[in-house]
Amino acid sequence: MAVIDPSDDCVVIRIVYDGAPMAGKTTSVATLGHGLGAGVYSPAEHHGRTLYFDWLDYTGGLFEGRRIRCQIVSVPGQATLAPRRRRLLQSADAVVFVGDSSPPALAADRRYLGALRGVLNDVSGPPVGIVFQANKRDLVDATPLDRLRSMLDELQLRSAIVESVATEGAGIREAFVFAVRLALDRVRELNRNGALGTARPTINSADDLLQELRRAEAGALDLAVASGRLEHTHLHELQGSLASHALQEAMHSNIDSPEVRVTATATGHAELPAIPNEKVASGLVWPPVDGRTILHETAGTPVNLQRRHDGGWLGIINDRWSLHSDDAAVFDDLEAGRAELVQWARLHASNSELISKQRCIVLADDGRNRFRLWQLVRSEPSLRSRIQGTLSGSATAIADVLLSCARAFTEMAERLSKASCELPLGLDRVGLTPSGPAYIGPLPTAATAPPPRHWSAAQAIDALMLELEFVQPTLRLHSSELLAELARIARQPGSQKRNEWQLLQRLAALT
Amino acid sequence: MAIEKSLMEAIAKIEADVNGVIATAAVDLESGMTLASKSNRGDFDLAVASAYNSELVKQKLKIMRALNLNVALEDMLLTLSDQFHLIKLLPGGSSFLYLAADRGSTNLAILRNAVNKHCAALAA
Repeated sequence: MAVIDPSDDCVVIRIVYDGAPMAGKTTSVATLGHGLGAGVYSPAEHHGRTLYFDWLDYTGGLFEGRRIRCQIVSVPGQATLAPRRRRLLQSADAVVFVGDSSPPALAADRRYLGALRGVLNDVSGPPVGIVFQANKRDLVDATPLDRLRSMLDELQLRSAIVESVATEGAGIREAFVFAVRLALDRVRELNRNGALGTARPTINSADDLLQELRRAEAGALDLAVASGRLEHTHLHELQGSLASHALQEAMHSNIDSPEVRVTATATGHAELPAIPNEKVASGLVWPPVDGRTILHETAGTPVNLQRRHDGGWLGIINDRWSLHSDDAAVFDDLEAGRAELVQWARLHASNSELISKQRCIVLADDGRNRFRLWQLVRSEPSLRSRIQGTLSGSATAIADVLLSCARAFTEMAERLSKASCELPLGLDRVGLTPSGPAYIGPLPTAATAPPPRHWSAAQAIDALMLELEFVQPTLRLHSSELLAELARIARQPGSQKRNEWQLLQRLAALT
Repeated sequence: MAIEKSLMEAIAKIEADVNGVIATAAVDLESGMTLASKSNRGDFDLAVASAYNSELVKQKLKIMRALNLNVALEDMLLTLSDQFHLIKLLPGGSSFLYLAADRGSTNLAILRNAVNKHCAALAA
């Protein structure tokens, strides 16, 4: 809904607070309003529960010379009001999802996050960023952050986590300001695509929004509330409604394209470049919204940054991300760096069907008044690690994994021929995703990317055999059982195809 | 967690050390949004001041870059006829503290000293 309002010369964005019932949405908005010195308006309440929304209008900050006007709206959490919630979420430029950190509430958080994802998947234009405001962190049994992160991973939701205690005001402003940054990333993308309108906002006040909702619902939900269903509605009654539908959508949809943004932080070592973080300026990360979220996750985590043999830098973050920068990827001039970033983003976009989704690139101050290009790549299980993980198993398991990895390797070789540049083929660089094999290594910079390489089937198998030398001693220990397994597989339908047959023969030769 | 809390504590400590503080805010440099704020005067619009001062800091950083000054910006002091305005870059460089004080009630040395002392304790 972001729009430039010419009457006030401001950019109007909407931040929507979402979450399960009783997670702390209204408390968060009220606390935020108190801190910002702005009043919160709630059109109707029912025993302290939000029925329509909470509304907070705040103007603060600047975006490209214009004031930023934030329409801050919280949704009603009750399942009965799911259509109202959906309508409000569809208008968001960024979402603060208030999650309840108490262990019993985790299931509700998961369900509502699934529904949120379903709604946001239907929103056109640049992605809507999500901040997971992990509330009630003062509870002694608060769900650990790692568990929350795993839940978000399982839901394939890229979200920055900010801890909060809404009743004490802790973490509320931080979550809000980060959501504003994500919204501004979206605004920048809308503007770049020519999709940012200039007009008086259709919804310019809480009354406007209330009228709009009432008009759209034609009184149906008010009737549900008046009938007393509200208090007795439970989440498991959502069968066939928004949440279950959205969860199904989430399960069948692909991961969003990753986006990035970064700011440099001093590392305290004279030789080391500053590490990028989530405070990088808009326009210096790609993709713009999700990238900033990735940087938020990695920022503040210790990075073991080391020089590569070629002079570049490599860092591992929490065993979840790897950070890469070429020796020459440093620029004295911001605009030169930005131009290279754009080229690199294009390279990523053109290879998006081949590469793993969770990655971002960023141009950040290196701490010495220069700008360095980085890429952050999520650590995914490689074919090598899959094979290594099964070597102590049965001959059947070894044969199955070996063959599935070999097939993925050769398929990847074939697909790499269609890449816009050469991507190194190796067991460490290829992983298996639900949609097939994917390149999981870092991408060369646009300036250094060699032309694409064509792999014939025979060349790919030759390369695979060289890579598989490390398993040969183990395979020979189980030679007879493995040969029997491979023979069994060879008798299965489809195994008689020429390339498959060749692959099986070469694998058999390894034993 | 509690970034706002630590910022508010720093603001309170500065106020305790300095007379005549009109308003103080910790500001996100990129967006100009306040991360924490406290105003002692109803007619002082801290949100507006924070937003436009973020532009001021960005422009100064741009100037330094244009001059190839390979150094850090620590603070900016502005003297008005009846007020001091002090902008102090916070650790990490992505946010700053903005403080307006009554010129007749304090002096620059005390002001700067108090701000430096309490901002140094803030984490990057």
